[in-house]
Amino acid sequence: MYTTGLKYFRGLTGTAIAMTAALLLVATACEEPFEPPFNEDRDEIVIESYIEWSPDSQFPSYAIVTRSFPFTAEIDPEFISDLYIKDAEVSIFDGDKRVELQLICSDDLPDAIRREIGTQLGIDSFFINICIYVDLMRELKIEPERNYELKIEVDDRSFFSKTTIPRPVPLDSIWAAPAPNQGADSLAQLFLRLSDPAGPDYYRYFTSVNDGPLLPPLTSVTDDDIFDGQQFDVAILKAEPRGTEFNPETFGYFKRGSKVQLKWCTLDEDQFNFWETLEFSRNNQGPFSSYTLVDYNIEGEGGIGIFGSQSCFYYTIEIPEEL
Amino acid sequence: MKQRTLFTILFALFCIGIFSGLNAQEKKFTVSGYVIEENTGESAIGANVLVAERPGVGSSTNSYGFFSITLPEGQYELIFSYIGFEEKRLSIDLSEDKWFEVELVSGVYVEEVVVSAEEDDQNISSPAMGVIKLDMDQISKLPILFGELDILKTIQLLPGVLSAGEGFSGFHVRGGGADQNLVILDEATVYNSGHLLGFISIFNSDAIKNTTLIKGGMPPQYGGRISSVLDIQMRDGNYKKYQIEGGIGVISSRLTAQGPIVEDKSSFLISGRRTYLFDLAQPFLEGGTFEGTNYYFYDFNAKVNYRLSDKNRLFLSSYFGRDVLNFATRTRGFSFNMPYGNSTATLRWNRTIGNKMFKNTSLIYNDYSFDFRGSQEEFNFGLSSGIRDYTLKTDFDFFPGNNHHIKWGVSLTHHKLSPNQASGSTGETVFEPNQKPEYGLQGGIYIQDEWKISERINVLGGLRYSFFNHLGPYPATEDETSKDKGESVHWYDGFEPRASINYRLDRQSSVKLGYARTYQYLHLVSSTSTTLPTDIWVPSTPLTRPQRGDQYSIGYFRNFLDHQYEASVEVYYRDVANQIEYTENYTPSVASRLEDEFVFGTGRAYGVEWFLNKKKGSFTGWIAYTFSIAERKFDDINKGRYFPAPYDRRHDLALVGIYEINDKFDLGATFVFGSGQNYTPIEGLYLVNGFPAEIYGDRNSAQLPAYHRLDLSLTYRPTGKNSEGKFSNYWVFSIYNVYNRQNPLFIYPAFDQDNSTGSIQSKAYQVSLFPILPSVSWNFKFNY
Repeated sequence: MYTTGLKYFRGLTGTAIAMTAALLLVATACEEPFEPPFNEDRDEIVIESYIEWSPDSQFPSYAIVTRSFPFTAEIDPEFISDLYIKDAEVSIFDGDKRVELQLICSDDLPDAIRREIGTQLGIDSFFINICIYVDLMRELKIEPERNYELKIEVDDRSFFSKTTIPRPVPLDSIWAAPAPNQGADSLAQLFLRLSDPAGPDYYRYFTSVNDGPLLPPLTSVTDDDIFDGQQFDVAILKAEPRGTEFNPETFGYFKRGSKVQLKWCTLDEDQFNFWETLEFSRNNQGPFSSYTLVDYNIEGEGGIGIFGSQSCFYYTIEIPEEL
Repeated sequence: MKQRTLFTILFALFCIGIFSGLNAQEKKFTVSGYVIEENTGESAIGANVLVAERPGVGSSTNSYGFFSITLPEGQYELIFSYIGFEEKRLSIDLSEDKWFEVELVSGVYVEEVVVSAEEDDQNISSPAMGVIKLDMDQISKLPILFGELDILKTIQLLPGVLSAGEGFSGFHVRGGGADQNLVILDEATVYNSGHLLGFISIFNSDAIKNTTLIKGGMPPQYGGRISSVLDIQMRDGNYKKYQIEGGIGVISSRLTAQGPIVEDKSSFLISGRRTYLFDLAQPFLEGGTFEGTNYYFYDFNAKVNYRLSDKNRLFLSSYFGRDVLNFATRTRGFSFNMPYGNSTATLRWNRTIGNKMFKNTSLIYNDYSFDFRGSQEEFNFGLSSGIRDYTLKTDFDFFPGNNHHIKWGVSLTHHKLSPNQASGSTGETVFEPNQKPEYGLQGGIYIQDEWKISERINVLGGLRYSFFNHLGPYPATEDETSKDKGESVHWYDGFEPRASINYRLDRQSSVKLGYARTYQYLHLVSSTSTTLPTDIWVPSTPLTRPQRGDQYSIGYFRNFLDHQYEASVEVYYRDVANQIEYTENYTPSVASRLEDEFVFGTGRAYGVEWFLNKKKGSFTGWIAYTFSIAERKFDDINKGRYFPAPYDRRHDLALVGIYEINDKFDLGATFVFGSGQNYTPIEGLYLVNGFPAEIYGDRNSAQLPAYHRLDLSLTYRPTGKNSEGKFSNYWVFSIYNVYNRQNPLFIYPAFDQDNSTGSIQSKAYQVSLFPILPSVSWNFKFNY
């Protein structure tokens, strides 16, 4: 039930409040569909663009440009595929040169590459025709502490943003241990040891099981406010695809015998703020919660999203059957 | 400048009035003393003392039952009256100063008053605006939720007072925030007035004697909040005989014992209450996954007092209450413990100086703390917050003549605030973020006079000067160096003029005008849509400035049919500055400086309140309707435009009725209707990581469906109302939400993802809290 984010425990006070409320709600509350008078005229351009430095990864810099849509829309794969904007002009400046990113769509790609895109983006590329703008020729110079500028033009509108790749902070080690559940002989939990350097750092991680997509857990980011400059061990959660039914017996644990890939990243501050606010907003829809606006760093009228950078390390561990 | 001019005029009038009284040549004597209840020996607060020979001359007892009237030498008949008690007449030969302790006998049941302004025409004769006193005996006949009598829920049925939400005991007065109400229990500030997340108030009705709500012109004796005052006084304890009373309800039971320690000289009261609903579930959890999980709350009230002499009295009262949530799950080794609650203690010394002056000195302690301790195997996490005060105050009541009642006083409070103190450990590593408590010294000095200028004009005016010294430790900022513990970080102060004028049009009606400026130096910040135990109190700092409120009100008051009915229309406008909200992208954080997460703005609220109250007869009750608007404006929220406050509600209606069928049965009914609560709508979605995220519209720009509900109650007394036996008891049967209205508590969006088809269904759900809920409580009393 815990994660690298000590932040998770911060949120537990809210959980405790929600549980107290639940004592009442379970006993008496009634839930029914509600049809609020939604205003459907929003037309935002949504940008997700990342630059990643890694000694391990081969995935190039990319941008995804989509449109916002009404709450009442039927969101099926065809609808999602149509959200991708395919006629944008996307470029990134690395301080020396400006590189135009090339549009590729997963439907046009061989299965192996298609699967790789799905793995990296955490999106099911089987149902959805994912279209992304990519630095195919790897012309951008990628290194920590370097500054980048993004420019996107779409529908006669221009959007801008900047980012700086953060310093990399690798893990000291990663290991598996038996899950604490009684009778959970087939499960394991993963631990990591981190030596956090002095000064602000922002972390995010993803997990993948048996070459599946790299997924972030529900609360995937943390800053180092309360462990700055310290070394410590902590357990991490197995990330589950959205929509997976919650099982308190197995949640967050890995099956023994599985191959687990852990992607461990430091983020730039803007990207941390984006995921921090987005995940908090997504995870706090219960009683008494107020809305939380997501922190974007996209400039330009009608533009939302994130242009972020990260330094990442990829670790693979085969969890033995016997622990 | 306008306020300075107003203050100058008031001060000049005050001086003229006092000295004109002192210059009178007639030989005068003073009759003074205490009015007490005959059956208990408790002081009668707000009892009227009139002079039969001089219509219009009189006084009323103060908060401790003291009165003083000065008259020319002569023969007089004094008339003492008090709600629910027989009138008492006392003939006196006033040739010297006199001292009395007047006992009033209870028993006037036919003229019941549920909500009263005390005297028959007090509502039209007093300059005070928006002052309402609740009578505990009478509100016990109203329908209740879970069988729990709750004074805070009764207050919500009054005009200008809004509920914080379905079932909540929190309240908003005239467009003010929940933290802007000064809630005091025997003079001790109560920082969190709710058990069970606010669904049940912490005030055990068995221990409460008197409850007064001041929603209009706050008198200068009160300070520190900008919206209203809820002044709750505990019973002293019976001086005459021993009593044990209690009740058994659906979720909790209560027991109170009181009696004399030394008859007519000293008494005690001790009262306790505890929930047991979830205790009953414990056997079913035994051996299961969640063994050890439980929730309960309890509270204790205790009071002792001692009459040192006729003119010196000591009171010691205290409250202690806790809510406790324990959660444990065996399969994951995860558990947490979350206790929170208030504790208060008040030591008071009443002293009568001469015959015209009354002094009360109080030493007060109060504390609110919230703790959370969670662990899983080697990982531990703690989060706590709280506030602790020590206050010394003294207040004087001076009755120089029958046209003046002057009060003055001074108070000093030391605050220790501990917002969001976090700690954690994993294995050998301990996490200790550098967070320190914050301190402040708050003081106030005031003077006020209720001056009867003529038969038609009555004025209540005065001035309060308040200050707040924010004390270190405080980290360095761009402008200032860091401050050590005890060093002054920032000083705020201000004058708070208050005035209300009553112009009596005729015997039946009057017009009143009121103005009050108020400052608030402590602030409650919340990231949720309601007030919760996790909300934290923070002090004024160099960045967080004191809240300021200015309220203007005008009202027309009229009584009908020999004061059987009282009616009023009040119009108010409130202007507030330095309001605090979290930033719109706030996420909980334990290490960053909290005030960096705040944004500041202004607010305004205005409205009209109609009130028609039938006070006498076998059928009593009232109709209260409020039309109001409450808005806020922050540069950093809603693009700098005005937006409705969360508690902005255009229409709010309450109908309350109590019918005494006979000696054994009473019927009670309440109906409430309110505009739906505001919320921030979703105006669109976008995909991130292949999953929808929300785009929000203007803040609080949408409204939930209207709220309405009917509750009924039946009170049954097997031994009759006037039973004089040693044992009496009564049952209260209530039905909450009689026609099972599904009132929305909140709505939330949900996205159901089908991983087999890659499709997502977006939906919105409305959650309603309480369906039709019958309840029963049994209440008893033993007399010895």
